[in-house]
Amino acid sequence: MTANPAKLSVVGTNVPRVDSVDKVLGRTKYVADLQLEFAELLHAAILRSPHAHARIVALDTSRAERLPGVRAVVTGKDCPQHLAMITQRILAHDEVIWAGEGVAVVVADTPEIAADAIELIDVQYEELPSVLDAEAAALEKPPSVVDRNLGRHPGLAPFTPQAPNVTGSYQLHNGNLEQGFAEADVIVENRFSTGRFSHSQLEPAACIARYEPGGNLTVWTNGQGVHIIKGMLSELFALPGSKIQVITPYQGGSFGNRIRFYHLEALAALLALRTKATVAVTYSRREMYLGSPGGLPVITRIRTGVKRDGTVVAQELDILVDNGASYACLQDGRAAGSGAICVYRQPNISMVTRGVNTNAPWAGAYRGLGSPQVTWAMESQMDILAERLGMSAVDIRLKNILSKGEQNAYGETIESIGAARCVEAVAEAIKIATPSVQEPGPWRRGKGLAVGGKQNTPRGRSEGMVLVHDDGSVEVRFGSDEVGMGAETIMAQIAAEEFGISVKDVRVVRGDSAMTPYDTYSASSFTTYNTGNAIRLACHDAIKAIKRAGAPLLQSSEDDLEVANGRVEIRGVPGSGLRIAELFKPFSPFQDERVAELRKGTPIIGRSVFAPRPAVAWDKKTGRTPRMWNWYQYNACGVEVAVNVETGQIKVVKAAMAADMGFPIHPKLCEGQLEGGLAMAIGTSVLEEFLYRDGVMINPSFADYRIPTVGEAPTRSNVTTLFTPDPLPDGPWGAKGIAEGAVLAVGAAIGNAVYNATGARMYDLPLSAERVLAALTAHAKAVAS
Amino acid sequence: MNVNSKSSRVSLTLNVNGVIRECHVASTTTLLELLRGEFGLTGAKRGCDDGNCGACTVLLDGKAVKCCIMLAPQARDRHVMTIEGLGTPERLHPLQQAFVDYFAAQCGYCTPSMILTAKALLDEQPDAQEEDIRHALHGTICRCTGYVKIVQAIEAARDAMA
Amino acid sequence: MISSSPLAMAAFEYLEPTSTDECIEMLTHYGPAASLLAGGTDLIVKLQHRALRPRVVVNMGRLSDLRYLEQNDDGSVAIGALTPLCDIERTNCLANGLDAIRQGATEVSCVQIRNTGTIGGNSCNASPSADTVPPLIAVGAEARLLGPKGERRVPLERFFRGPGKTMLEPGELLHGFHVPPPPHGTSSAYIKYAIRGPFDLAIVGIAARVTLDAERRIAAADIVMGAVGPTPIRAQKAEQLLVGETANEKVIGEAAALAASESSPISDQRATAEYRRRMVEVSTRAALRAAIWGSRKPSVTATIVRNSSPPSALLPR
Repeated sequence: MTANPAKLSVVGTNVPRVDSVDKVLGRTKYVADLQLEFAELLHAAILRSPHAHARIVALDTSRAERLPGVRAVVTGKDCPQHLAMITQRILAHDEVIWAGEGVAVVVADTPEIAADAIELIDVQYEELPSVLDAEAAALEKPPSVVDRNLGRHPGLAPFTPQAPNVTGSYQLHNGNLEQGFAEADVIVENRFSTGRFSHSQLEPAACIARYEPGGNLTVWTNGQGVHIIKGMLSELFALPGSKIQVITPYQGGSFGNRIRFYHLEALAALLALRTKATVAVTYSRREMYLGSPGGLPVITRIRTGVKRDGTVVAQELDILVDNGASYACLQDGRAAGSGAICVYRQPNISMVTRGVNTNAPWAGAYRGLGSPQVTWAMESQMDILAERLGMSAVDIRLKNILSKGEQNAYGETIESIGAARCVEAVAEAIKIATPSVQEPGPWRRGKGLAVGGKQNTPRGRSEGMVLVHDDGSVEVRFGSDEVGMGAETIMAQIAAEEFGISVKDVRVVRGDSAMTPYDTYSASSFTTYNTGNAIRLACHDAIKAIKRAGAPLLQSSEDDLEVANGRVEIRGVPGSGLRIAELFKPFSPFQDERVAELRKGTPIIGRSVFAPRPAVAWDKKTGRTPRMWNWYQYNACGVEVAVNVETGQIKVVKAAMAADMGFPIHPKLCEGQLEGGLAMAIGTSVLEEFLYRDGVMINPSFADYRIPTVGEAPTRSNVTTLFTPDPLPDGPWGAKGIAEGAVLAVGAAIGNAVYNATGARMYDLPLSAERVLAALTAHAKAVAS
Repeated sequence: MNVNSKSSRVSLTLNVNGVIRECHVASTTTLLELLRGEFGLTGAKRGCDDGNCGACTVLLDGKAVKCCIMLAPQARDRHVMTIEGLGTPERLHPLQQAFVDYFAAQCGYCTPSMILTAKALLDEQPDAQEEDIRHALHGTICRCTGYVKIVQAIEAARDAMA
Repeated sequence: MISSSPLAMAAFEYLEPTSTDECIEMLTHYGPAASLLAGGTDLIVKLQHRALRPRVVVNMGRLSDLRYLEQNDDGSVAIGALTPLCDIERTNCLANGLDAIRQGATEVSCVQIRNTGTIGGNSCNASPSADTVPPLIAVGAEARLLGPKGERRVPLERFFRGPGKTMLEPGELLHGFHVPPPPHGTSSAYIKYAIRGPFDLAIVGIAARVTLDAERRIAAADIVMGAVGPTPIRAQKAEQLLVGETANEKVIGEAAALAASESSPISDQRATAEYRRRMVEVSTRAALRAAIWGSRKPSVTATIVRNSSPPSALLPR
């Protein structure tokens, strides 16, 4: 599917985004903006648990129900029992398992009445022991059991958990670990950890559900994946899919928060079905922290053996991922573990991954799915090893990075890997070999780099639909998401390229289960790949139909025709053809249906299905398989930091980001991902974490959960983005994805830079000022003694 | 006591995007709710609970304010500019054009507030440099772009408007 | 009804007095059931979270006589309570010995908040981390309180009773501040330490005012610490250490260490008590340096905080 990039006219160029003008005019409607369109709208408010773990002893909603203007009060017993893909209860039943879990919901005529009614709900809790420490939670006798029915949930295959909170486990064994360590000249062992982060996208979760009795359930949501949500609702409420329509308008960021966050829609639908009205559920920012999916804390224990020349000969990993509080969660840590496998040659390796429940807000999909967290460990370790060996950070990495055609430790043959060039590119951009210039005062500068890879999950079918209208214009329809990354623009570009027209002549229709064909959600950086391939195939299908219609008119065979610029022509004979519009016969009310001709008013419809080659189940003993994942995106980051030795603050002064995204379909959109990912990862590496007291998050706000302002990002001339793509054989024009790669290596690059600036090695993210100051103090003491 | 005493509603007149508007709303109505709910001007957004994210930024008598933490009558007899008052599809304001040309909008949720904050800055400081731009944008959060193209766009608009 | 959040204020009556007298009448009538609205940047947040449920909200917005910023002939400055922080940020009235007030205003949050928030509101909200309060105390400001019994003045240092609590009696409002003229040879500074700079609430906020005599000895020193106690704390021992000394790094360092020991911080979501105490030392040093020698912030690029115009050229180097 790759083509000579020199021959491309739209793909590979920086066309204006199809959604820009509306966005700068403020005309773009997000879900909450749609509320105006409903003459009557009810509003919901959710009562949430103040305790990390408690039994609900008594719950009395009668006073709330009696408040004028309250239409319904719903509790756990009113919710469907089975889970239907939701690894949460819609509302707690007799037990709450995290501080923030929903206990009751009020639906009322106005938000004020709903808020008033919440205060009239009487609930009594009996507090139970809770556990927020993942390692304690993973014990055979943990302080608290989060999901009492783990392994025994109806509708899921039963299993025996390793421990009461361990939701799954995966093991990979390759080569001979003992031998490897015996051959090593240097062995280093460390424990690394990351904290709990939040996506903190700007637009809070919002959903409007309308139920017409005997009729349809219509849902407008900023959740992701209209068809997936529709399927979930159909299962959950035993409603036929034909009576459900799900629409996703433009979404204000996601970074994974909106993926499988099903109980937003489930709750709204439940309330709509109950009241037979239109109900809006809108989350506050606080609720985004307490009641929507967050990111995945990961503890990585890593023991590495290297030879003097830098070759890694033994690698032992124990990876524990913290799911937070989940019901029926099957997280096994395998996705996080992939970050440890996809970059380096590791002939002798043992990796054990586990998922564990804790009583913290639950973890969902977060940009990178655990790879950034494991990359933090791997890439800190690489620098530690490099220093022990007296090698440069660049050399030790280049020594071990896999090449195309090799097999990684899973047993997968690498099809596309630009990692080495990524490393070289950032090393050059920040001049890592040249030490930082120091200035007088408390700020110490230092440079560091890191590289990482992120898998793409080979799951999910994307269907494409392309309409060619009787005026020759092209309409692309797809069912995944536009969370801001520019998917609509990419699909328009693909269609414009295939038809040889301008993006301006392509219309995009997206995210409506009644209008757009099946797709999953935009996740795992695969929209360009999955949906893009599907759209491309659908274009080919439509073009075939054009040629089929044009061949008799042009008295040519279909194979000799080509479609471009709104025309179908005989190849090599310019001016020989017709405008596509001319293929359509004039409109007539009395059309002879049996004749297969194109008529005005009926578009040509090209259709397609694309699905990646499926994964191959791994060997139960070794964990190996020739196809665990699909493709990998790679990203390297180089930074220069300034560390304030009096306060522990870190400023990223310069940054270079290099990406292997296979092929940049829209270079500026790729830059935007790298620049955005840099800032986001600065946040999660240096500034952001969930803080708790007695199991309750104490900073659920933008005041105290410190996402980066412009001041925390480098100045614009100090951010460099570089492309070092390695084409993917079955990506559209070689394209893979880029969005998650952008956050992979930033944390480790910063950690390595902090070490080079100060001599203090950090093991735990985020590198908050307090942690850094403590490390500097300890380092100074160690040096003194 | 004034006419509004003993009442849980409040009346006010204000100028919104050059048009005099009258309204009669619940006393608990914020300026953001007034603009969005009463006047249908949904360009200003709610992103947080406490006036931090800046997605609600509008211009009050030319100055950037966070209207989610203002009561509606704080705009009495004053001039409010929302994003809807800036530019048209046929003729974008230079800032809007620059945000398009420089790909400074990704999800777009912060875009109206970024543009208005920048407008207030450039109106007062037509020669604003990057340091001034960063200072002005400090209270307006973006999670998608990393701010790089936003700053580039504002600089380009500054140069275009000079 | 369009709602973007489940946060919804509890109902209240809204009142809009057109004169200060009318306002005081209302406050007297309603007592603690009334909340005063100035800029609203603190009040509205509390209302939305239902942390406050006043029966009545009294909007001071039309009380234009509470908006003033004037330097008098004797060098004292009168600052009206309703003066927006952006006006304080830009004024020429507060220089040299009073510059810490201006610096404090500059450190509040962001442009949008400073355009709306008032210097009076900053005090009356009485957050321990308010940025204009330590400077006002350090320069000896008095609060002018106006109530049904007339006007009284309270040294701002005694105005605060605890987090969110002031000396205002029922029926009283804050008219403004009277700032006495600083002695000759005085310079001042405010250092806010916060992770994201002005955007965050202060982890610590230190105001320092120093008077140097003709021999460059410290004739007087004021060090007021915010965010490290339920109310601002004067670092008296540190001040006493400084008086009579020649300004140098060593004595500044000792004073800063002493100030840290006089602070009374708690651990909260922004910082631990231990870290705050350490930052008191760091920031007090920085504040004293800035007050004495004019260098206000450690320099690093990529920082959002701008150095305000350098303090006094009066102080000989």
